[in-house]
Amino acid sequence: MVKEIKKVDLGARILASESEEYQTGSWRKEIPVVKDKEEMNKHVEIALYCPEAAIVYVGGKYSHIDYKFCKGCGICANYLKKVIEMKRV
Amino acid sequence: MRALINGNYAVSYAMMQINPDVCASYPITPQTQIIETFSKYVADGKVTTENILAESEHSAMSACIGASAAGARVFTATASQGLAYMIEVIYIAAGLRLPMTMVVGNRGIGAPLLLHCDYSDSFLARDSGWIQIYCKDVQEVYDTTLMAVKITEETKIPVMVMMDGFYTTHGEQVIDTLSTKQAVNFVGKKPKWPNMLDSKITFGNVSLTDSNIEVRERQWRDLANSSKSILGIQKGFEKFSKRNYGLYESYGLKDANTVFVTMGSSYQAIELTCQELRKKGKKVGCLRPRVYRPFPYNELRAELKGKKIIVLDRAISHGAEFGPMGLEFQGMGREFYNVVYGIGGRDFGLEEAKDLVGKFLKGKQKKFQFYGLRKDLKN
Ligand code: SF4
Repeated sequence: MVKEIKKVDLGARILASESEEYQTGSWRKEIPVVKDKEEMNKHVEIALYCPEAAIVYVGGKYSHIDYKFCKGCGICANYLKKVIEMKRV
Repeated sequence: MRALINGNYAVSYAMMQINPDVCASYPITPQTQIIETFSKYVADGKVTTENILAESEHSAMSACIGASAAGARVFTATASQGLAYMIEVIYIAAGLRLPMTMVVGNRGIGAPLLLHCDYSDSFLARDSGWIQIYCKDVQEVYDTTLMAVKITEETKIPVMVMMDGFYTTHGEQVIDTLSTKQAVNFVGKKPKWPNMLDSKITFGNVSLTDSNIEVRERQWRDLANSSKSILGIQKGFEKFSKRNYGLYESYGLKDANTVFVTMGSSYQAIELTCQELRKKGKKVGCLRPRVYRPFPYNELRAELKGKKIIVLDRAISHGAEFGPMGLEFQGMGREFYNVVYGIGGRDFGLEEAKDLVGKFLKGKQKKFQFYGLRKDLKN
């Protein structure tokens, strides 16, 4: 939770949208770099594999990785070894 | 309706009448009959409950948490080691403020392995943030199970209903049950609480140094205030059942010099003893905390002012000066004594009650003692 949140409901529950303020990008030690955008279009399901919902598709087409939230876990790169590469930051 | 029934069957009967959305449980002595009978109701089509027979108590409570977070009316039961195994998620249910009802057939926690009654299991969850209600007989267990559903849904605090293992879980008594129509009307339609299916809510957030103490203070405050809801719901229940329950029960308090405090089924033996002594002109009284969390400190302090009090404890707080109940009551009354009794289900009937009360009326006693230790057992 972040200091910017001024109200929490019972049991520290918050609206799912409020968790957007908790940006996990600063946790990152490695950054996923997409090598092949065309290949990404064939693997829309990768959006669901990302625990931070940081891989953005628009209208079924790959758009970008939101680095404000990508925490560098490497799940995407492990799944699409030939398409995404993890680089040290 | 009048029924000859034991505590376990009374609980599953009450739950059958209510037909909760979800029951997730794991059988353990002495509450197994609850799960057994309730599962039979499910198999026979008497209820439409989603009955999850989990592989452990930890999973059972986790399923209850998920179901309640999804807006379901949830029920479960456990005891002893099962409750101990569940304890991590018991805290989580309370921390997430999820309504649910759990019945506990009190049985001590090993080792050494044991089957019979003491309160070391549910006292383990004393500080978890659940409402805890301890019953003395089968009628009270039946009534409290029904009231618990209403209490938990009004307060958004999970409710634990306790009965003494074997004494009450397996002891048969004649009770008055409500008709299913009455029970359903009393408990009422499940109110809607914010849940994961209806709105986009995140449960189980991280709450670190910036917010944790505030969230906890709110939880503490709400539990302390929940006695108002409990009293209100008990009043509503009394209106049509004519059975009245308070936060505690007492006998002869007003003019008593000496008051014996005890919980659960052993109160009956203490009360009978006090009634007999009253006939002989002895100014004795007794008191039974029923709602243990939230604990009615102010009311009890006022009731016991100036009296000699003897607090009976069916649990041990190892290394402490007194037992868990003793710790609650120390500082109340004019003179305070604490007696540990009945551990591991050591019988405490009328004979023992008379003996113990007699001792305290006769002469000087130690501030803290174990009652009824065998002298022939070298240890
Ligand atoms: S590294 Fe992890 S968090 Fe970042 S985009 Fe890949 S899966 Fe998502």
